[in-house]
Amino acid sequence: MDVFLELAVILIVAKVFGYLATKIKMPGALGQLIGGILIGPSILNIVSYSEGVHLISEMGGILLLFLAGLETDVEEFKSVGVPAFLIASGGVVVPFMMGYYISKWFGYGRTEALFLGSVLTATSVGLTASILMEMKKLRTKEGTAILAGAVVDDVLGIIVLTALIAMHRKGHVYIEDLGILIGEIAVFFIVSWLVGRPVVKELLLLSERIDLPETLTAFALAVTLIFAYIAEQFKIAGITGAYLAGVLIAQTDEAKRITDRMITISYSLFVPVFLVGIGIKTDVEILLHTGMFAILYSIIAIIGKIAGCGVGALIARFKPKEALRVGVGMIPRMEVALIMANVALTEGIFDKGIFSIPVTMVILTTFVTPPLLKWVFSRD
Amino acid sequence: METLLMLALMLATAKLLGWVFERLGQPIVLGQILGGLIIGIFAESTEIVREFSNLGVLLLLFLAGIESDLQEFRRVGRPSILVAGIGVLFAFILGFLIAYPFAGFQEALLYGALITPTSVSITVRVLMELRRLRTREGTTILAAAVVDDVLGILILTMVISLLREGSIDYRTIMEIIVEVSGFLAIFLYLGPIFAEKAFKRISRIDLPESTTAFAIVFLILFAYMAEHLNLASILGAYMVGLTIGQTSYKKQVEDHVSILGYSLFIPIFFVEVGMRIELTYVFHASIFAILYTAIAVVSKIIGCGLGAYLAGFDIKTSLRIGIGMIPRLGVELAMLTIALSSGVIGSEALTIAIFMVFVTTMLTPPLLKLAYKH
Repeated sequence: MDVFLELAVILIVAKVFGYLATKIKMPGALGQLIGGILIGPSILNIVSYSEGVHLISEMGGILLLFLAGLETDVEEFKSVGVPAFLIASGGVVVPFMMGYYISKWFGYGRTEALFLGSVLTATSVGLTASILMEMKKLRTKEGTAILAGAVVDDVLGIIVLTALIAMHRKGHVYIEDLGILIGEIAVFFIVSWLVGRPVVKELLLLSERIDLPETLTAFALAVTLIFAYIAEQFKIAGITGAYLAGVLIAQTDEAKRITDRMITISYSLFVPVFLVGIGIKTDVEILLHTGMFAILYSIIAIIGKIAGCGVGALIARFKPKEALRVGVGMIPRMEVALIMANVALTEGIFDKGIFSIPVTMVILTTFVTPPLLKWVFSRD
Repeated sequence: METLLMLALMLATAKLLGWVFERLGQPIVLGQILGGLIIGIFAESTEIVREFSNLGVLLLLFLAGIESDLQEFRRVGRPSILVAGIGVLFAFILGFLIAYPFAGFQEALLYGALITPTSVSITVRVLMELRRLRTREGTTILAAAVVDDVLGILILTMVISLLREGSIDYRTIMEIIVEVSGFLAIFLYLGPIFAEKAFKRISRIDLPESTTAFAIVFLILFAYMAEHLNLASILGAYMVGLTIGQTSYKKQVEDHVSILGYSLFIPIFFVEVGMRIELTYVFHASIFAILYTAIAVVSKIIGCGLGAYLAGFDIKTSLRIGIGMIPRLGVELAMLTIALSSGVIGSEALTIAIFMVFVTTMLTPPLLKLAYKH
């Protein structure tokens, strides 16, 4: 099929299935994912995933992380500090370890197991936030802790993934080299912070003087793409670069305007294509073979977060009941987990069969969270 | 990943050189094409970049459609139709005649079609500078430029459609005219009502940017449909824009689609056009390029001038209107890429047409100022 026609079909599916999902009070992203599975090769086989669509979907992942970076408030980050950090760390370490060992136990190789572990780390808190808002519980101690924890755990998750990608690309996975590796990543972050910040600031100032339509947006887009490219050159995942570009631009005066326009660009085209694209790439047939493991993996995803974040919250002096709420609130995985799985797929670490496991996990955790959350918050 | 870097460089180049040209009082697009020419020396365009650029063409035409104001159009009516109509007719016939000895019948038809539309952005700028935009000739030029886009797209559509049918006879021409007018009638009469209802439903979707996404969906579907009916895809894109422009969602869709267009796809399109230029062709076909450009200038002055004179303007004002209608730019380039993809004309046509675009846009401001001095 013609590329543009394929795009049109994907966009329709994205919005229609997203709409259906919101009707049953589920996140739109979940509907888009399922819509993608439906039109993908394993069920209806309507779209073939051509190269142009592929690029747009990759850019969707990059833009999502860029937007996540734009929303990261460095100041707030410092102020919620300790409890959020404890909760997030617990929620990263425990699922990662559990995911790694269960995958090894089921016979996956070391690299696959490491990546399957890392996909479990990042919470997507959008679903929790919307449910808590509905229950008027967002502005509680637990609500704030969940929001802040989710931001920290995105960052931690990205760091874990970045480290793994770099290890994989160097061709060996030795724990002894981890120190050097973390050093390299730190250098990349520090250099792009020190050099990138003033350069980005100057570039945006320059773009303000150019009075052609949408110059600011175009420059922000160019900066993001270049950061993604440079990150790749440093053997770090492109999405990490995009996230960093977002954080840098969030510091400038133009952040608000850029965010608005980037949302338009992302959600009208790139992000729907990304989400539906993930569905298209999910092979349902293979999933039937690995079904047992996929379900076990999803259970690990749920228990891992409740246990990890819960313990973190307990250490931060939350009551057991509050700690449980925080743990449940951190269950859902969506965009970041999918982006990570997608990176693993493009790196050739996951085959289509393994790729469908995290996708199942995302769908299951999303379905489980709303009832669980209502249950733990209504128990007084 | 290389593609991402390429896109980023093309974007930055587009905005920077566009800015430089703006500062020099020249059209932005020329700077972007020149930027593309420079990038083209170091890197070649890829399949994917070209797909992005094609989406840029469709978005450009869509925005041209949504911006054209049918109300304004009815008000200025007769004089602008005369100016545009006769201008287009002269340009098409003279362009065809001059190209015929050089290029043969089929290609000459396309060359003729390619010089029909006008892009008045540069004229508008000069008239504003001279404080003559809010005059009768100013509004006539503005309205005529809209008519002229429509006529240009229609002529190109018919020519491409004729060439695809293979045989050029009376019956095919009639068939195409019926097809095109059917397409137009459906859009103009049913389009706005349908679009209003569709967007009302779509706006109930509680997801970010649903209306924008569906505007893109309609754009693609109708471009594709037009293509399948053997018409040109740009006709579909333009008509979808025009139709949505008649609904109450006009402002919202226009704002958001122009963010998407101007921050990425449209600049990529202009730069990509520049990357396709092959300088050697200019020297090869220099005589034809110069004659073709001269005809592009003369045909509009005479044709549009005659139209204006028939509409009751005096000779001096008619001349000014004729000169104001010379420049070719956005729609012209969009039509060019469509004509190229038809396969009838080769890539040397691109270079020749861009030469013509450069000369006509750069020639207009001094000529127009001269015409107002006397």
